[in-house]
Amino acid sequence: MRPAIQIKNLNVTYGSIKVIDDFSCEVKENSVTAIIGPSGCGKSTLLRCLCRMNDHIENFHLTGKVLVKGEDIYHPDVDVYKLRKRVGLIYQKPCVFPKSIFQNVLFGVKHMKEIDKKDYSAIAERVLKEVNLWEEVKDRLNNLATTLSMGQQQRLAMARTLAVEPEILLMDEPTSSLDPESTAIIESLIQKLKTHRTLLLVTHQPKQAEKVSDNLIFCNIIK
Amino acid sequence: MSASTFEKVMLIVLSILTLLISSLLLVILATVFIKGLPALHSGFLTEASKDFGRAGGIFYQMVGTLILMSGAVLVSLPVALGSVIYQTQYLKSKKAKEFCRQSAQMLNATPTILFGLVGYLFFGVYLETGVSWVTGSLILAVMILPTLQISIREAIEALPEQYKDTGMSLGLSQWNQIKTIILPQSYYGIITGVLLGLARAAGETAAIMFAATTFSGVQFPESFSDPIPTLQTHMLVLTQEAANPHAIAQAWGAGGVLLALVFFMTFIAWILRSKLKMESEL
Repeated sequence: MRPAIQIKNLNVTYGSIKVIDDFSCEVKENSVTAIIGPSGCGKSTLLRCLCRMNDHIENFHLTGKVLVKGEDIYHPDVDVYKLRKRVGLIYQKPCVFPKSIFQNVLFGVKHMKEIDKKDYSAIAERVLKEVNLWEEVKDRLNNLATTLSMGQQQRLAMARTLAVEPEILLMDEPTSSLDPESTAIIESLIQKLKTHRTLLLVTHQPKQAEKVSDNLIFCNIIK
Repeated sequence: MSASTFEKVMLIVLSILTLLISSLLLVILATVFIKGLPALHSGFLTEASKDFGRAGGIFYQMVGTLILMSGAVLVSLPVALGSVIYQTQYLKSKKAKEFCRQSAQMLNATPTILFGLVGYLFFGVYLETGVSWVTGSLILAVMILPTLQISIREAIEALPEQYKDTGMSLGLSQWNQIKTIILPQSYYGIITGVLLGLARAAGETAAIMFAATTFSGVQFPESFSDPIPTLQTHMLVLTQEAANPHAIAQAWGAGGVLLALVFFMTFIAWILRSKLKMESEL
């Protein structure tokens, strides 16, 4: 099986502060890889490097190679907007816009010219079912997304990301702000999603990492 | 003096100071409306002025003020919006951002007569727009630019960083993020900025007095090179006729209308700003 992600001798600095030092690894396709380590060891930075979310930060500097499905994502010819559709990112704290549930799910899709407007409803239903949220919201799709619970908002954020059909899903401590019940739902979702996607999960909980992942990456603070 | 006595004395002093400031505003309001009352009649807002401003209404002066204000905002808004979007969304360097922020603050503190002087030399003389409503609008546009910039920047910077991050991670281009996240979510702040800018432009006299306005001779501009009557110039000229009670009453009446206009816009801006704060805290 070819690797979905290959990282070779990655070094990341913010000005004079070194955050990642000579890091290399490979992530297999259709698997769950958990990254664990103490706070401040660069786990989130690593995740954000994989979809080039750090590019706009002043003094951000990266050396080494990051390959996604064999393509060097830091090559000058890479379309960064297309890359971010291929490599989705789920945040620690769910972010929903003060719009309806339906508008939130389709927020990314609406900017994809290749998708027909008449397919919007079908896409919303498909992804909401995929994250096990459809039954809970199908009768109130026009309600404000901010009225949902934190756990539901996190699943909505996942549905919104899945709607743009990423091949790789990066999750930055997606359960850290959720209650145990919502955490369990997200964990079972991760298992379900790996059948046709590659997932990279940053977590602080070794038990969760063991439970949901196929591979583990340990990070340490640079001394 | 014990600490608790000192505390009590300070509380009384601060209360008196607060009361003084609040009552000052009430005194100004009461004076303007009481003194302007004799001039107010059914046609005051709809009739043209007569007898060199000593009688009649202030219709054309109001129209003139509104034309200058609207012209200023039409020119200033796209420039302020574009500039703030560039500074907040594209500019990476913190030093450059701070330089832009301080420049706007300094421009805001510049005496308005200098805007009039430099503006007239640049627009009126160099660009040959002369003494006209176009020159006045352009001078006011430059003058309210920092007010608009500061308000719009505040609104955009108050947006949660997560909004932008989410848009970015969904693959939205920079322009799509601006169009679908930044502008719609900072909508109230932009309107607040516009209203505060309008209020500032409405109250301005010095900058446009000799570059754009006239007291008599023109009621409504028929070309780009015509000057325009405004409430501010109308009041200024009439108060110079201190011996004539009719002229003075007309000036107070015009002052009351101008004050009501500025207060109305500031009040709406204040309501919108409160709404913006509430939404950004969601």
